[in-house]
Amino acid sequence: MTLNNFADAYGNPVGVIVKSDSHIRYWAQIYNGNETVLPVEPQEYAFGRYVRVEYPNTAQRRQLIGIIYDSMLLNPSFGSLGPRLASDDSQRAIFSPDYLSERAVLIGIIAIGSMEYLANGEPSPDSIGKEQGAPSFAAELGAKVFPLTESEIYAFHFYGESSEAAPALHIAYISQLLSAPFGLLPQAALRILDQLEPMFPNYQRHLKIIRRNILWKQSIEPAR
Amino acid sequence: MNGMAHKLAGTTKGPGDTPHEFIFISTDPENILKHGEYVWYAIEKNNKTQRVIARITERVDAHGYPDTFLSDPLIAPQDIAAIMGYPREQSTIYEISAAIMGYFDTDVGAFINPWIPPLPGSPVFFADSAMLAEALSRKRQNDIGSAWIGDLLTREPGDAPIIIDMTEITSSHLAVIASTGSGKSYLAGVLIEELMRPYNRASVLIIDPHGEYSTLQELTDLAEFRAAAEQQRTAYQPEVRIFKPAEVKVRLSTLEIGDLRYLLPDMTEKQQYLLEKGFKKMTADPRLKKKWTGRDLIQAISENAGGENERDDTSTVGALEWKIEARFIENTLTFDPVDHLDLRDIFKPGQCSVLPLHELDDRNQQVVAATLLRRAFRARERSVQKKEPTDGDQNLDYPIFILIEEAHHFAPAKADVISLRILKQILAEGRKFGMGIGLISQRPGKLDADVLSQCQTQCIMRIVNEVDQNAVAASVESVGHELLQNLPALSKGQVIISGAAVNTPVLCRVRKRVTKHGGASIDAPMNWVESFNARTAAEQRRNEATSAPPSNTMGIYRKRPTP
Ligand SMILES: Nc1ncnc2c1ncn2[C@@H]1O[C@H](COP(=O)(O)OP(=O)(O)OP(=O)(O)O)[C@@H](O)[C@H]1O
Ligand SMILES: [Mg+2]
Repeated sequence: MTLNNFADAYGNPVGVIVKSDSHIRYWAQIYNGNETVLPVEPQEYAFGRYVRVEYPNTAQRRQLIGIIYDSMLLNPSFGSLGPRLASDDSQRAIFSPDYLSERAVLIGIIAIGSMEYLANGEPSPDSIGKEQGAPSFAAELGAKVFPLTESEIYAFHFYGESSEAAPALHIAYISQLLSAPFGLLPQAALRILDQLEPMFPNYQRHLKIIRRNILWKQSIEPAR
Repeated sequence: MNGMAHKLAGTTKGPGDTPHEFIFISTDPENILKHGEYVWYAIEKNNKTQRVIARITERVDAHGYPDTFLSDPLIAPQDIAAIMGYPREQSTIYEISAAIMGYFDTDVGAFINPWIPPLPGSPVFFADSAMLAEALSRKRQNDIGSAWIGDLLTREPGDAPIIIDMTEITSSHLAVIASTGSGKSYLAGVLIEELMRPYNRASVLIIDPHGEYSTLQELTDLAEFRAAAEQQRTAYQPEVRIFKPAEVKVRLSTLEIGDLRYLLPDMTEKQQYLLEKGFKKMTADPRLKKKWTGRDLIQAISENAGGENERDDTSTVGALEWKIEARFIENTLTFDPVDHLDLRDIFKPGQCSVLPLHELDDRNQQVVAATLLRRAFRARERSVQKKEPTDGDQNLDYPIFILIEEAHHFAPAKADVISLRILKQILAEGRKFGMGIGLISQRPGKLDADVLSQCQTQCIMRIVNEVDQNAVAASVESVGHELLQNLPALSKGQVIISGAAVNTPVLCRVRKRVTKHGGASIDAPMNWVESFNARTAAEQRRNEATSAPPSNTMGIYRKRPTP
């Protein structure tokens, strides 16, 4: 799956940024059927997926890169226990359309870096234009969130041919996932290893060790 | 002081486990901050900047990898760290402990502990070889009284020579201790070479129970020495005298009653009593005092015996006579009424004498050593006290140094050996009389503890045996526990030198000898192969001689009739 032009890279957004907790933690609201032509499939915003968030000035061709590490359902009527007019959505669409649009799915995104795209829409092929870790710039409210394609994921982690000085594969943000105090990040880290393993066959043994290290910290160490 | 010119080693973290230790942090990119290496920090003392030298005692990887990173032998943990964003070139940070030795005060000639550890955050520098060569060694190369033993072990050969102070060694004694095969005799050879250099010209005797020092003969014909002598416009060439076993004689009149008792073992009390009485009577005779024979002693004893229990005495005297005869009359190899080693043949400035004792039995070796040590000690004592020679012996007008191989044999722990007493006396008083002793032993545990602790300079090499390690730790105060921990790990030719002859204990690589080493172990398989080949060759020749056709036309050999 390669990107032929920049427009392709935009693909279909899955939602927009609606809130942030910090420089690296964001909440995005997933489009519901009313806002998009194509409905958003749940696998497009699955737990552990890589996403990019466009910066307002897209001429820079830099995008924030993040991982979906949490989700939340919003229900405005939660807590109001009054009698219901209708018992299912098909009836609700008729009797109370406002109510439906106020319900929302939010996804938690943790920013893990940023990446520049070339004029032709391809991501930068080597270490130039990539940053892993906390990105320099925050995302903005209303910015669109796109799922990352496989080649974009590969590009984000590929830092040039492996050499004496450095290996080809870089996952410098992984310790950030492991050391952060909120719960689901280690599981998200395991999910990203699932995605990287087939992409970097030369590094399968290395990734296995990293996985083993996370699993040990997750499952055995707390029991000791 | 130009701070930029010095090589930075790291940054001080804070005090260490003990008051004289501190910890610093370093990435050590060149991998030079090894165990035993030297670093320094600066302090202000009396308006002067002093460099306080410290020795690295421990080095731990402060950023160790999790065990899981080490779980796949095909994958280097640095690579995993690199993938996770930790650059390979800085994958380690070391926390290094260093023991403060002090700054070297040239006026005092010693290290002064400032009792001020470096401040946290302050820089620590790598001590360069020139600085160490100056601070660690007492003397400069080619000084009178200097001995170049080797180089600092942690540096490249030749970078930081270790020069020890021969003045100390020849007055306050030396011990060379190590397990067998660690290079003691080799080091002793180096010491002798240094003692014989034009700037030392020592008077040395080696008591050599194994006869392994004869290769020192090469010293008399070394181009290196000749060149040095020419440079100094002297005609000095060292002399080496290797005594023949037949020359190693003890004049009977130099024996004391204690020696006699020792040489005639298993005497009954009665026999001892009679021996003493007879000996006293004999030596009271001025004619016999200076020259007696075994027969004279026997006669004195039998003349003296008798009295109340005459009958008892005859058998006792008979047994005693038999013992004396066996030791002093039949065994004329060692004991002689007149001949003995001439002190002035043995001891001469610029001469190294070797006394091979390998043809003597244990007791005779001990008595030879004891009588010689005693005579030499008295000779020095009289010379220093400006007294005339007595007992027909000479005085010695210059200091002497005696190296004793297999010292545990002459000064054993828990055994009464005749040479022990005189050795103890020389070790205790030799300094006053210019008489130095060097003891070499592979069994410090079997060496008398007092004797060992009297040696103020110690050369300790590889020691594996725990009893011996403890013996060294107990009697050698100058070496810290931390240095002694290295003993089993030392390789052949590596030595910890400590005590009076160096400024601080130092780990040294013994230099190459200029003469050949005579104590090399025997290569048994090589010898077997050679002697086997020689034998088969001889057999072949014999067979050829008997079966080969005559090679001369004269027909002296007739062809064997074939059966
Ligand atoms: N500094 C050195 N450089 C090169 N070879 C050495 C060195 N020291 C020792 N050797 C070699 O090691 C062997 C043993 O050395 P040496 O005879 O000095 O041991 P030793 O401690 O005197 O043993 P022993 O207790 O049996 O007398 C010899 O063959 C010698 O040549
Ligand atoms: Mg030896």
